[in-house]
Amino acid sequence: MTEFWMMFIAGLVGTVGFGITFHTGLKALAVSVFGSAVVIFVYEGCSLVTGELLSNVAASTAAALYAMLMARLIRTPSTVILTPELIPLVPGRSLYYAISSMIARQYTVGVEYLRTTVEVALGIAIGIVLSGTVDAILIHTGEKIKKRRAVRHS
Amino acid sequence: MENEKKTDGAAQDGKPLSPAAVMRNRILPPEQITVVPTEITEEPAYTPASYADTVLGCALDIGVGIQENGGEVARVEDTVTRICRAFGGESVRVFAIPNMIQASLVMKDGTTAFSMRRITSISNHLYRLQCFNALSRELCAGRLSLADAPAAIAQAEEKRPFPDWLLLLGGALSAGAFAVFFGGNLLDGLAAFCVGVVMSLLDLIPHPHIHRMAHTMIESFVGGSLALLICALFPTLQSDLVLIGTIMVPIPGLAFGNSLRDMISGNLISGSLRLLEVLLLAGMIALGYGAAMMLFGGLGA
Repeated sequence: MTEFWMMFIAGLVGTVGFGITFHTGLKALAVSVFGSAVVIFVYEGCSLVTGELLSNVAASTAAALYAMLMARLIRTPSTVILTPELIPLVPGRSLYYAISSMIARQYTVGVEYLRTTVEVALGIAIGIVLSGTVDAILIHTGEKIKKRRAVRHS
Repeated sequence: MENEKKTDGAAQDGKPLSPAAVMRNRILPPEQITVVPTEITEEPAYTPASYADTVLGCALDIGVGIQENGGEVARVEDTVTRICRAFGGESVRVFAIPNMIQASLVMKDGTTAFSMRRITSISNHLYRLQCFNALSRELCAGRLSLADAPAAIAQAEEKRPFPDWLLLLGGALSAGAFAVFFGGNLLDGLAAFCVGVVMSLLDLIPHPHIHRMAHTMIESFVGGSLALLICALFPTLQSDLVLIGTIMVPIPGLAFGNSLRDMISGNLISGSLRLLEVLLLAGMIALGYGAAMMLFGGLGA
């Protein structure tokens, strides 16, 4: 349990570090750090019951939905929130092991790590696509409701 | 008589002259030149920018600001369209790819404008992106006039939320924290932190003549080499976890996210270009770290 909390805190500190590197404003950075906590919890929770791909899909979907919601509330582009909060999902470990295995001429292991790297990247991509679709549907529905109201009032 | 012969375009021996020679021979001698005084008018020699030109220019400047600081192409196109419509544009056509934005505008009175901007550098400056986004909101809501916009744009281009030492600390913190995040102990984190300081310093030093790809490879090589040297000096450190922490620093997270979002919004050309850039950068990271491991990988063994 201590290991988990250590990893959790390190993840949040890492998000702060990346937020500063990306010149994120303080308000957006605070929102991103909270989003990062959500990402870690969702990822860890899902990884108990499912594999790498689905855990990443779930975590990035949650992250993107949260970013889109908060972007509307604090009136900022969702990219500003989403970019730092997704950092804990970036497959740095598998990318490193893929490189080191290839250099050690352990090609089978290297390809396996490369597959994991692609799987994680794909998981993040699917999550962003899913939440983007949900966001587009919500915007479309909102506009329809607005138009109907305007017609009723006129 | 001689002059007349020359202006006919033929030489005395009957051979045709070259076009340049014909032009040379047409120059009159000084005594035959008469100077006709011309009237000086008040009107300038150039055509002044129309209202449509001003609106489009302002919208494109904000679009460039968004694109250069890490915004998605869909956001750029949307922003330019919204600003033009807010100032009376009837038909707005915008096309953007990561390195260029072009747009045409037809106003309600029929005047038109067309303009294009080239984007030479893209950075991860999310605060400026926020500022440009806020500027476009202000313009569309009518809280900022077109006359005040250039000064506000220039101000947004200079905004910096953090001093350099904090940026250095940010890079180092991310390297150190991710070494611990992926399973290292605090000492591994400290080693990655030290390497992160040097890598962030490389990022902060202006490098206008070094291409981004080459810079990423150099940064990765320096980061990998330093991490391996530190691990050779202190054998209790877990070299793989220190390296994993430092490898997170040059990873192009923003470009990857933007490439996906561009593709989702239907901008397949921009999305593919950005994805290609991400893959090339990942290749450069692998090359840099690979070279460092080949050179210094045996030190700790």
